[in-house]
Amino acid sequence: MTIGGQVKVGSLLAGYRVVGLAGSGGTGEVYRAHDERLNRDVALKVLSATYAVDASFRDRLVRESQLAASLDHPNVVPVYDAGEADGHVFIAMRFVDGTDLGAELRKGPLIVERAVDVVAQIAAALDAAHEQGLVHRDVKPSNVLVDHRGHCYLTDFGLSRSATEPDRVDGSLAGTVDYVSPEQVRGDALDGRADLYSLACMTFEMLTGDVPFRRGTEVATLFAHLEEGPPAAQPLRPELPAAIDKVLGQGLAKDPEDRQASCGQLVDELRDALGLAAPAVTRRWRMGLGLLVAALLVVAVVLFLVRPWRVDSTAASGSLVLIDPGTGTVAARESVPGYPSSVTSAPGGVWMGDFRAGVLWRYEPETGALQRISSPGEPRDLAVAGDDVYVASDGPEAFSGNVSRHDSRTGMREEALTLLACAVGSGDGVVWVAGCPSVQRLNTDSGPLHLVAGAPVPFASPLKDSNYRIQIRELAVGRGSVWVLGDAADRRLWRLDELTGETQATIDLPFPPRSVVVGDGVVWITDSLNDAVVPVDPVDNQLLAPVPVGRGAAGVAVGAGAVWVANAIDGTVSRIDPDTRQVVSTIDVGGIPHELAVDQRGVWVTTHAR
Amino acid sequence: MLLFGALLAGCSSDPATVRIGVLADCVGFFRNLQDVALSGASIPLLERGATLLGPNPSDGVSAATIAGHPVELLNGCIEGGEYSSVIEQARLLVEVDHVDVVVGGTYPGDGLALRAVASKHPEVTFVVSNPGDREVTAIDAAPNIFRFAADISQQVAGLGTYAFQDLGWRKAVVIADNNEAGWGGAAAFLAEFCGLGGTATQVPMSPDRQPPSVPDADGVVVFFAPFGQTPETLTAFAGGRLPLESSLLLGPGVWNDLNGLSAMPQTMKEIVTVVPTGGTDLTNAASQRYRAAAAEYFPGVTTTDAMQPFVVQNHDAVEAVMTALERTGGSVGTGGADLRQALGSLHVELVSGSVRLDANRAAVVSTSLVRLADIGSATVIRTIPDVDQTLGGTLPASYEPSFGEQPCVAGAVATWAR
Repeated sequence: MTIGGQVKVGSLLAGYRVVGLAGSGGTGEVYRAHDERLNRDVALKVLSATYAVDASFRDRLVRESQLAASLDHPNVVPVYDAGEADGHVFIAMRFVDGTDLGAELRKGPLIVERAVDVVAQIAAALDAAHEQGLVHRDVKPSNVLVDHRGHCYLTDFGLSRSATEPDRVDGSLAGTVDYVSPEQVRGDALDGRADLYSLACMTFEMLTGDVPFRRGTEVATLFAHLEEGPPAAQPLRPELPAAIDKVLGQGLAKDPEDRQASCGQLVDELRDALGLAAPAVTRRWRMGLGLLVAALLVVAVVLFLVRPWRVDSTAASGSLVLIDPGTGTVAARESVPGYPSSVTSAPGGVWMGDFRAGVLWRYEPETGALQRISSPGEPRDLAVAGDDVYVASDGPEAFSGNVSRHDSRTGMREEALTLLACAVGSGDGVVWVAGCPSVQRLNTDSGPLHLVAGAPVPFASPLKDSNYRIQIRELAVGRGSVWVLGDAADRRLWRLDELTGETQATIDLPFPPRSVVVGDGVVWITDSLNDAVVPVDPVDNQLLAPVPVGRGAAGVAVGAGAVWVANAIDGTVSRIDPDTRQVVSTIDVGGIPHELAVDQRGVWVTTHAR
Repeated sequence: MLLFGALLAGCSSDPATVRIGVLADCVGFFRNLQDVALSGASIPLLERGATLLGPNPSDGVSAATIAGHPVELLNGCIEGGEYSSVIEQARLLVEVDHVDVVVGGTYPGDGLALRAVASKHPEVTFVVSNPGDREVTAIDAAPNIFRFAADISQQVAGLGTYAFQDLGWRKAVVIADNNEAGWGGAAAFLAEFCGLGGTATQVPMSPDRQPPSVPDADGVVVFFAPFGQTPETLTAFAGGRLPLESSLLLGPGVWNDLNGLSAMPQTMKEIVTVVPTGGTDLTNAASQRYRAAAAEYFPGVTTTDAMQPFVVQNHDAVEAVMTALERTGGSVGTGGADLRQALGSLHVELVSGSVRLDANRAAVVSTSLVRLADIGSATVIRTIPDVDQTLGGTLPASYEPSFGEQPCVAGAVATWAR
């Protein structure tokens, strides 16, 4: 049976069982199919027979598959496979169960917050493409897929080319006239700012319900893109602030030089104009009890509220180091841009958080692929439960925080919950997140992220300057408890029931604590001042004799038969025999090692330059 | 880590070289201000022969020279208020870069973290540049910790006496942020005001930062961070009392929008606040020289930015170290002893005023009472000299401001109120 397409429903094409027709376009059809080898649904894009014999279209499809595959980004549809079978030229990609943005817009303009959210997602994909020198050239609502959770994917990279390749090799215009940039109309050389123009057109439509240049004919539309000034959006939607027109007007500038420098900048300016984000503050703060204090005596807050932060995430080079526990030597070293700090090992690879740059990284040891994952803030801490990675972050707004849940294999963010969050830990099937002064338990099922239980971690009494805790430093789960670590001012360890949060013990620590982990029957806490890791006996909650390690004890992890401590000042990792509680070897990893994670491959250590 | 000196890491092992490490926030909430913060710290070297290594303060400066000794400035990158970061970066400066002096702190409590590192490294001199908690030097002071900026409570000196003696208040309402700065401000005001016989009701600032319901009193004094204050909100904090200039007093920094002053109603401009002396007296020689240097070396930093307290405090801390080095002939001495001896005996004119140190190596400063309209000018109502950490004898040396009610006790009268 065929359903308006060239491939029969139920037929097998290159190992994909065709389930039904999902959509069709000028050059082919898209089918929903099932990958029988990997037992997953896919979208199968098949070039129509007419075009399949045309080498240029075949090339285009191949190009699309290659480009999309090279863009390992959560807002780009992942390509699984491409090739020819049974006379059909095809691409297999993730099946996005949802609709496209064009269909949404046919119902009218979006609510403002949703519009900016969509723009932000597509902007992230475009900036990633532009960073690789690619220009999409056909950014339009029908090329934005939206799944049932609202996650957006930019698709159809068939027109994409590197910025150095000519656009109109055959004299035709690539792109759709309602969203096409003036330089595309003129046939000029293109760069990412052409896509930015198209994105601005789309933004205009999302906010107003109509494209900026709706004319009776394509020629008139193209002329308008070339010659007519951008229309104002605010009169079309009076609740919009007037400032929005300045932002959109810049995105729709005729001269690419006059546009924003990046799609991300367009988003930032949109948020500013719409009052959806604190202006230009990218550094977040886990605010405890009235943490605004610092500004009173230290700075004029106005300064940083109006001043853009100069982000330079490539200024320092970090590394993900793998230690082979068998040999006690460095087995591999992967360069990671910026300042990777937090790290965890998940089913989908090794995840890292760079608080300073506000990005997440996923490293696939099997392929060596390093995926940059957009973060809803500045990630401080990571934890794994099942197939998911939980991320505790500052932001996305000033004085706020959030915890997000990601598919560890794809990087896709499934859920996010707004709450002050500076640490997250998991174990025994539970996930806890800590803000200040409270800690909360999160659900671990696939439903919307929410709090299951919560508990206060009270300040010292009487609370004084000297014990005024700014944040929870870290937490760990194990031995039926959540172990919550105070900071260098409030030097305490709280032991809470891992299900209810009920306080089981409060343990004073005679040193500034840095990290905590549970393993080998002991709770291990690093002492960042005195170069030691201090065991706590979970039976009686007593501190045991400190184990001297290298200088600047930072992260600690347990696994592969040892306790591992990162020594930030020495640039080393100490390996401790958990039975003798003695350092048995010291591994030089270089840089400033911060955190560790242990899995079956070995010990992963994040390091970065000063 | 950025190296401020004209050396490459590890290339200079000359024992005569003096290294000063400056901790500035480049990760946390204040990271936008890293360059501005470093500009203040750089100027004392630039005035002593160093040159800029790039257009931005964070590009660093070459070594200055004091009596033939190169003096280098290095930068440590901290997240202010994240004490593990402060400890780690201070230790990196000391143990890897082998600095002789550590200057810094962004968040008030950073000084506590530095005190911990100072105890571990008695051979290194630590200068806590930001005001911060009084405990850093008042309780268990490490002998190698110095502070040339007033603590939180010192900054409030004179306000309680002014309320009692000049405005005639006998019953005050104190609205304060529920944090270190709020506690410290409230404690200082109450120590003076209650010492003279006044009584007070304390009201914590609400989390939503809206003006609270104010009980009956002669006037209201507020201590909170300068977030979004407007003439309207200040009026609301006064609880409708008029005239404002006699019923509302402001702690340091509550109003910092100098540009907004011109649009204020005249009665608002008459409200009295307290500031470090150097913050008002732009005519003193040190201030004039500093502002001229800032304009010359860092034209991208506005005068307003250059005069921000944290910039001035960084400058003053490094200036104090450089001045002490000039007294020692450029040498820190064995284990830094000569430098610490010189620092401890300094009486120096800094941008923030004339400063000497007490036995705990904490600043003895002067503060000024000014009207809002006179912030930034030399017009002061009263100058309170010789303010030490006891606040003119009204605060016990061991007292730590804390959560909840600050003591309101009659009897101890500040020296300047007698």
